[in-house]
Parts: sequence; structure tokens; C-alpha cells
Amino acid sequence: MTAISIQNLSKSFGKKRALDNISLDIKRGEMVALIGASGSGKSTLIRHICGLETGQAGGSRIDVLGNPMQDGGRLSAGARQMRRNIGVVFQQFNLVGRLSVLSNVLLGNLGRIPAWRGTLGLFTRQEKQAAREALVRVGIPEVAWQRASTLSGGQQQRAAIARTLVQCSSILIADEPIASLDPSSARRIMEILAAVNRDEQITCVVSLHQVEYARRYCPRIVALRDGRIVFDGPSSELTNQMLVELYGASSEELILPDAPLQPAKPKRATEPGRVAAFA
Amino acid sequence: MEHTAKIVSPEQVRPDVERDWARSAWTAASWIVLVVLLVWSWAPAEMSRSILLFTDAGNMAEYAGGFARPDFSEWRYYIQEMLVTLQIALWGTFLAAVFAIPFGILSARNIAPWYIVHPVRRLMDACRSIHELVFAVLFVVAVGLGPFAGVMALFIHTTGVLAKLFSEAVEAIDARPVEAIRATGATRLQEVVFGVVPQVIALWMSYALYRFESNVRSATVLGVIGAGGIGQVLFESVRGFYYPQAGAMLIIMLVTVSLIDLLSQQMRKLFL
Repeated sequence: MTAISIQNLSKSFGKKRALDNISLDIKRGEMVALIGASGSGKSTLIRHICGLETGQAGGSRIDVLGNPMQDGGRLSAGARQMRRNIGVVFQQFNLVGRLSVLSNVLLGNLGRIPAWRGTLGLFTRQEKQAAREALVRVGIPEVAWQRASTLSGGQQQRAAIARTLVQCSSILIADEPIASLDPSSARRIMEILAAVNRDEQITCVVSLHQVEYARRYCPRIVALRDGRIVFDGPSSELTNQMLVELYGASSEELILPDAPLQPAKPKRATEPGRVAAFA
Repeated sequence: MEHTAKIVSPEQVRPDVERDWARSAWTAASWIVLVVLLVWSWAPAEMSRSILLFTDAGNMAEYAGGFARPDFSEWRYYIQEMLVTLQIALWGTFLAAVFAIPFGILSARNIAPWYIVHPVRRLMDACRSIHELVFAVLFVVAVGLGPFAGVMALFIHTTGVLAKLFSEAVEAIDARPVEAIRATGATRLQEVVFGVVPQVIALWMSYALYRFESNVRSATVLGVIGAGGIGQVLFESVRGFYYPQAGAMLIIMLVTVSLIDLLSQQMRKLFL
């Protein structure tokens, strides 16, 4: 069954063609990396999938879990309800800085609970318990009462992931979640995302800047250039050679110069070392 | 590279600073216009009487002398009336702050659509552009002489001021956390409650406190037209030539306003 189905999606900002006739199907439970140099349209595509932006009129259509999210440049009436099925982690600035981390995580409930209760900020004990468990799962239970603005970049991303866990969405989309993080935090975030995908069968779409991470964590890669899909297939097939052919000089942006070429690993069964990292 | 460097010789790139005649003409014209306006306004503003400030300085000194020996014998009454003035300012500011929240949000361009923003803004302009005194006269007619007329006058005027300040704070927020909340499937109201308000609440508090400061000053003036408080008592004593009593009241007002200023400055520092 398809989780996300995109047909003929185009979008221009002024004269710049940000997305050019994109068609893409993502099945339930997949973990897909979206790669491309900066300005290639990754973020724009993600913003369209979660209904924060609408495509060009005429032909553009996005279905999420079998329901239309937008069609012909108009958001569907049910878009607001559908957003709750899509958890989004943005590159940065995800969290409301003045609220505590736990409050931020609790906000993930807003789409699922009655509107009046959400608006007044009345969360049940179970919801609070679930929020704490989500923080434990991403490995930052100790900062629950801190203001979100006091967290480091990696902690902020983990809190944002915890919020999507509370949201109980069946799709998780992360827009450059590791772009501004140091390598060890970046690995941590990617491992959490991979674990969420593996353990809960949540469909994950992750846009990445560096192809090494895509190869290591995502079985499928979709590569964008100038708003077009230039590669869509198993990550093992996307070699550095091919990247150079696809992107020319800007491929340097995507490949870490000294990183060893890692072959894509198939999904692995739960590994004791990884589980310990989340405990 | 060396070759191109030789082509552009120092003589050629030396900047030629010429006098910008157009600019000088503009400056001169602006000054002339200002002088013409001042001369034109001289007679209607009765500026010729300014000489009296010096020739009749003795009168002023005598008048001020009446205030110079303040009579604090009824200080309890003055303090009580000063408190009434504070209470008028407190209610006026509180009501205004409460009402300015929805009006401020509705007149923020990044939150509300233009067909709501514009009517709300014009309404707030009307509230703001009319002076408290005018509103007070209006409310004295409606609800009678007394503090409540003052509260209403301050409330209406301050709502206009705070709504503008509040909406400017809202327009300056970071849109990204709000978008993140929208992505959870939250309603529009929830986006405002959890995405917008936490970002602006400190600034709002600070603005409201500042307006409380200025409303304490305004409330004393409102007493003059019968809206209660120390202003009214002050005006009555001046009209009855009770200058020592008026002097005492002026000192009490000065001390109170300064204290409130100091206090609210400290509190605003806490919020920001």
C-alpha cells in the first residue's frame, strides 16, 4: 500500500522552477532518503507533502495514505486532519523556545485530542506519560523540564522526534534533520529514525545533504536536481561515480571527501548495541 | 593580473569629489520652509507674549511661592485619592491588555487575512488617535462623574495603543515553530496559543507595564475633568487658591509616579 503518492507536482517561485513535474510513490514502511545539493527542491517537496505549501494548478496531486492532501494547487478540506498522520522534523527551529521540552513534546497530541482540550493545554496523565516515554526513547529524559531554547542542536532534534512519536503518525518526514549537527549527534539522530522505522513500521522520508548517511541508513534513495528526480532506486546502486555524473561539480557538496564508501546495508534485525543507546 | 593592474593607474581611479548642488539646494529649501512656517505661526500662537515670562517673572515667583510651603496636614486624604488614581489606572490598563490580545492578534498581518486586519486596525487607530480626555468627557456624560468614567477612558485609548504594539510583536515572530505546530494537525487557534503567544508574551507584559506607568500619569490629569482621584482634588484646590495643599498633592504625585516608574522598569527587566 502506498503511503505517499505524488503525481505531476510542479511549483515555481517567481521565475525559478523549484519542482518540475515530480511523480513519486512511497510504500508503507519504507525508509527513503531524499538527496540533492542545496536548492535542488528537497525542502520544497517535503513542505508540499505535509500540506504547508500547494503545488501549481493543473495536474499536481498528492495523496497521503490513500486520501488526497492537495489536488490541482488546492489543499483538500481534510488537510488539517491529515497532517496529524504526518510527523515532521524540520532542519532546526522546530520547538517553541519558551516552552519546556515536555510541553513541546505534548504539543504532538494537538491533532489527535479534542480541540478544546488541546487549546486549553489540558493533557491527560496517559498523554503526559507517553510524552515522558517518548523522551526516554530518544534518550533525553533529563531535559524534560528545561526550556527548549536551552537545548543543544542534537537535543532539539531529538525532542522534535519525540514530538512526532507522541503524534502517533504513520509517516515521519525529516527535512535535513542532521544538517547542522556534529557527526556523532547526526549518527544518533539517524539511528533513532531508523529504529522508529524498523520497530513501528513508520514510513520515513529523510532529506539529507550527505549521501553517506543516506547509503548507510536508507535502503532507497531519491535524488533531486533542479526540481527533477534524477535517480530513484536502491541506495546500493547510487555510486559516487554516478553522483559525479548526475551533479557534476556540485556533487562535492554531497560526498564527504575522506569518507570510506559504505555499501548499503539491508535492514537488520534489532541489534543489542543499538537498543542500549535508546534506553 | 599584473597587466590589468597597470591599466588602472592611480590617477584614473582618484575620486572626484564634486559639490552636489541639488542636495545643497534641498537642504537650504528645507530650512527656508521651516523658518517661513515659524514666522507664520508666531502671531496666532501669541508668541509675542513670551516677553512676559521675563518682565512678569515676579508674578510667577509669587504664584509658585504659594506651592513652596506644602501643607501635608491632610496627607491621609491625599494618599487615599492617590490610591484611587492608581486603581483607575490599574483597571483601565488591565481591561485594555485583555482586549488588546485578540485585537492585536487580529491586526497582525502574518496571522489574520487582510479583510480582518484592515477593519480591526482602523478601529484601533480610532481608539488610539482620540485623546483620553476626550473619551473621559464622553464617559462622564454617559456614566456620570467619577472614577469609572476615567477607567473607561483609559481602557478605550490604551486598547488602541496596546493592540498596535501587540500586533507589531506578533508580526516579528519566528514563523518556523508555528509551522511545526501546524504540521502536528493543530487548529488555527492552537497555532496561536502554542506557537505565537509563547514567543510574544514577555514583550506583551513589558508593553502592558509601560502603559500602566503612563496611565498613572494620565489618570491624574483625568481627575481634572471630574473623573475622580487626586487630579480632581488637585484641580479643586488650585481653583480655590489652596496652594499649600496643592503643593503637597503635587509632591505626593511626583513621588508616586517616580516609584511606579522605578518599579515597573525593574519588573520589565525581569520579563525581557
